[in-house]
Amino acid sequence: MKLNQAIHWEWKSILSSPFLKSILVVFLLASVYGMYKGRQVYLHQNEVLAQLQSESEKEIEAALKLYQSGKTSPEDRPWLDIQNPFYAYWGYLKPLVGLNPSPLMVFSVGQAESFPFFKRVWINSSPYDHDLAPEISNPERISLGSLDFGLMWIYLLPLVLIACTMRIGSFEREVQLHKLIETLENGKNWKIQRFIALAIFFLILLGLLLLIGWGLGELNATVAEIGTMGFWTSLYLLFWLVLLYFLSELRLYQTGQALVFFLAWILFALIIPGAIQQAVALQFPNSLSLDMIDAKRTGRTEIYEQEFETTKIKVLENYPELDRDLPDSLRTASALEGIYMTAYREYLSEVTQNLDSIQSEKISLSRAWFPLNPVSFFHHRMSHLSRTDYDAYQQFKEKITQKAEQLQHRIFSQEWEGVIVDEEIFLETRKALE
Amino acid sequence: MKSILSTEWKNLLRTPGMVFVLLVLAAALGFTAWAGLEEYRVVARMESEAKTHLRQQWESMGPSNPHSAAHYGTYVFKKNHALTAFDEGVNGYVGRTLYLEGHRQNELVQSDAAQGDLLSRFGKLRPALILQIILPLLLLLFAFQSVRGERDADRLRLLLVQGVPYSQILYGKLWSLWIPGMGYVLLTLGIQMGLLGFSTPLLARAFLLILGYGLFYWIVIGLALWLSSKTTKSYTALSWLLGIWIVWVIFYPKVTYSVAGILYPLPDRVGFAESMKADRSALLDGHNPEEEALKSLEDSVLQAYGVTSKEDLPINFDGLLMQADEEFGNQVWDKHFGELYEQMQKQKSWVQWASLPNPFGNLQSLSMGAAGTDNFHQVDFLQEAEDYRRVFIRTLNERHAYGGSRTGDWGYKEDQAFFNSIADFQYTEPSFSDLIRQQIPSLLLLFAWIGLLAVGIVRVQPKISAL
Repeated sequence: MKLNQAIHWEWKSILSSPFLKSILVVFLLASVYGMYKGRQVYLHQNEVLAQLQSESEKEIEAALKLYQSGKTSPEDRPWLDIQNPFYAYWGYLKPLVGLNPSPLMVFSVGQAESFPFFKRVWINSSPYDHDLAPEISNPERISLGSLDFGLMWIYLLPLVLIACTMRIGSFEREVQLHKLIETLENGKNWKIQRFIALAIFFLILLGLLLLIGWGLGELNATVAEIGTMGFWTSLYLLFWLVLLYFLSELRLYQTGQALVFFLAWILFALIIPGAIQQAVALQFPNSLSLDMIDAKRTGRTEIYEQEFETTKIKVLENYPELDRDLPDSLRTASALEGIYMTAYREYLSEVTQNLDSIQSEKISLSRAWFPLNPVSFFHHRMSHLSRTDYDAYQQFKEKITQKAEQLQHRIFSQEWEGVIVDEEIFLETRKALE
Repeated sequence: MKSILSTEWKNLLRTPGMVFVLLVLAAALGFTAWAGLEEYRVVARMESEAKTHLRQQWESMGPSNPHSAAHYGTYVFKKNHALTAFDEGVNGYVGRTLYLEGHRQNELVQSDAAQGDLLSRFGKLRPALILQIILPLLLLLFAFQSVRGERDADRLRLLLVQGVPYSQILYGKLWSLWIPGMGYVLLTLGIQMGLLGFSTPLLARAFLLILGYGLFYWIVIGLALWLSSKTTKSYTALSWLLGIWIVWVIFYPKVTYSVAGILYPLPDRVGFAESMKADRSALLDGHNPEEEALKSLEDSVLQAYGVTSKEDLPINFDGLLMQADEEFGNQVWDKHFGELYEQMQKQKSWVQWASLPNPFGNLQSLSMGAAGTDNFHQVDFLQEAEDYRRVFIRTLNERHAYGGSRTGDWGYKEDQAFFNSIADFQYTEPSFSDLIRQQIPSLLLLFAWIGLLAVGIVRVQPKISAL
C-alpha cells in the first residue's frame, strides 16, 4: 500500500469510529480551553503588573508635585522628609519587580500559579520575605494542576495516541488477519505507514492548535518562539509514536496491547516523574528559609553590634567613588547609620545567594534525571519557553536582590555625600533604578 | 461463592506476567510507603529543630520593650500530619513558614512548589498516587478481561446452563478483585502505621481511608463488570472503560474546580490587600492615630481612671492604644480572611457534590481529608496560628500597658522571664467528628454509587447468543 493510501485509510478509520472521534473532539476542545485558561493567567498577571506600575507612577507624580511646589513633606505625613534620600525613596520610589509573563504562557501555565510574581522592593528585601506569596488560589485546585495546554499535550496526548494505536496490529492478530497482511505486503511497512499517517494527522492538529494559541496570546509571541514551541511539541509527539510502535511489536492481542500501552504511560507519566520528585524531595527538603529568618533577627543584631570603624572600612571598599576625607563628626547620623545598613544589605544578599545555591543544586539534581524522565523533560521545555518554570522565577528572585542592592547603594551614597534630594536627583535615581 | 473466588484467583495468577505485575505493585507500594514516611520524618525533624532554635532565640532575646517584641514576632511552621506520608494532598503547594507579628495577619510562604522544578503534574510518588490512579486502572482492566475472557472461552454459557445466576458470577468476580485490591491498601497502611506507631486518632483516620478506598474499588470493579457485560464488542467495552478512567482521573477533577472558581471566585492578591488596607485605614492605627479615634479611646480610659491627662494614668496608655489597634485590625482580618475561607469552603462543597458522576473526585477528597492534607486542615492550621498570634500580641500589649511603665515611656523594658512565660504555639488537629462532617458528601455519593451498581449488577444480563 502506498503512503497516501495508508493515510487515507487510517484517517478514515479514526474518523469513522465514534469512540475515537469523540476522544479527538474532547482533546481538541480541552486543548483550546487549556489555552484559554493560560491566556486568562497571562492577562491577569499583565493586568496586575500594569496596575501596580501605574500606582508607582502616581506615587512618583505625587513626589514630583511636592518638589515642584517647594514642600519638604506631604501634609498627612509631616515626618516624611522628601529631601532625605532614605525617606524620599521609602515614601515614593520603592521599585516594582515583576515576573513578566510571556505570551507563550497560553501554552503552559506550568508553575506560574505557585510563584509570587511581583514585589515592591525596599533595601532589606529578599526573595525569602514573608510578604512574597503567590496569587490567592484554592490550594486543592493548584494541587490538582491547571487544565492548561501543557497538561493536554504532555499527559493527555499520549492517552489519545494509545486510543488510536491500541488496535494497530493487535486487532488484525485477534481476527487472524495478520498472516494475510504479511503475505500481501511487508507487515512492518504496513504498520509503519499507519503510524506515519497518525503522526501527520496529529502534526496538522498541533499546527492548528499552535495557531489558535498564538492568536489567544494576541500574536505577541514571535514566529521563532512559536516555531520552537512547535519543535518541542512535535518531538514529544514523535517520541510517543515511536515508543508505541516498538511496544506494538510485542505482538499482543487487543487487551494485552492496551494494557502494555497504558503501563508505559503510567511508567513515563506517573511513576518515573513522581519517583524522581520524591527522591529529590528526600535529599532537598523544604529549607523553611530558616537562614533568612536568622539573618533578619540575630544576624541583623550582630551586624549592628560590630565595631564601627572596621565595618566602615569594609563597606567603603565597595564604594571607591565616595569621599573619605570628611571626619565622621561632620557627617549626619543617617549617613553613619548607612554603614551598618549597607553591611546588613550585603549580608542579606550573601544569605540569599546561599539559599539560592541550595535550590540550584536541587534543580540540577532533578534535571540530571531528564534522560530517564522524558515526560518531565518535554514538559519542562514547554514551561521554560513559556517562562513559567523555576528558571524564570529564579531570575525574578535575582532581580529583587539586585534592585534592593541598587537602592541601598543609591541611598547610602547620597546620604554619605550629604545630598539633598530635589526633583532632579529624584528623577536621576528613578532612572538608575529602572 | 468460595469456588468462584478460588477459580477467579487461579485464572488471575495464570495470566502471563501477572505474578510479576502484582509483585512489582507490592514492592512499589512498600517503597512509596517507606519513602513518604521518611520524607515526613525528615521534614518533621527539621521543623522541630527550627522551632526549638527560634524559641531559643526568643528566650535569649534579653530585656526588651513588649511592643518591640511584638514586631520581633515569632514564626510557626506548617505541621504536616503523619499521614501526609500516605497522601501529600495540598502540602507540596502551600507555604510552610508563617510569620506572626503585631498589626497584621500574614500568610504562609515558601512552598515546596516554589523551591524547585515541578517534575510531576500528579505529585510525588506517594501510596495515594498508586492506590488512586494506577491500581484502579489495573482493576478496571482485570475486571474487563475477567468477563470477556469467560465469554470468549464460552465458559460463561456453561456456568449459566448449570443454573448459576449471572449476578452471582459477577459478585464472585467483584470480590475476587476487591479483596486483593484492599490487600494493597491494608499492606500500605500497615507498613506506615507499623513504622509510625498505632494510636487511636491515627487508626480512626486509617479506618476512613480503608472505607474510602474500599468503596471506590467496589465501584470501579462493579462498573467494569457491568459495562463489560452490557456491551457486545470487546473493543467498545474497553474503550468505554478507558474513556471513563481518563475522564475521572484527568478531566473531571480539574473541570469541577475550574467551574467552582467561576461560581465562587476568590479575590486577587492586590485587590484583597487593597480592600483590607482601605478597611483598616478607616479604623484606629496605633502608630499613627487619627485625632478623633484616639480622642474617643483616650476619653474612655481617662474617665475609667478618673484622671485628666494620659501622663497622670497609672498605666501605659500606649499599650492600650496598640491593643485597640490590634482589635480593630482583627475585625478587618476576620472579615476578609473569613470571606476568603468561606469562598474556598463553598468551592470545596460544590466540588464534592459535583463529583456525583466522578467517584474518583470523592475518593480524592476523602483521602486528602483523612490524611489531614486537604484545604480544610490547611485553613484549620491558619486559624489556630492566627488565634495564637492574637493571644501572643495581646499578652505583650497588656504587659506594655499594665507592666508598670507610664505613657510615652518607649524605653521601658520587660525582663526575659516575662517573655519566657509566653507559651509557644502548639497545633491541635481537627477532631475526627469534624473531619467526618466535612466528608459526609463524599461518603454519601460513594454509597449512592454502590447502591446503583449493586442494582445494576443484579439486573444485568450477559450479551451472549442463544440465551
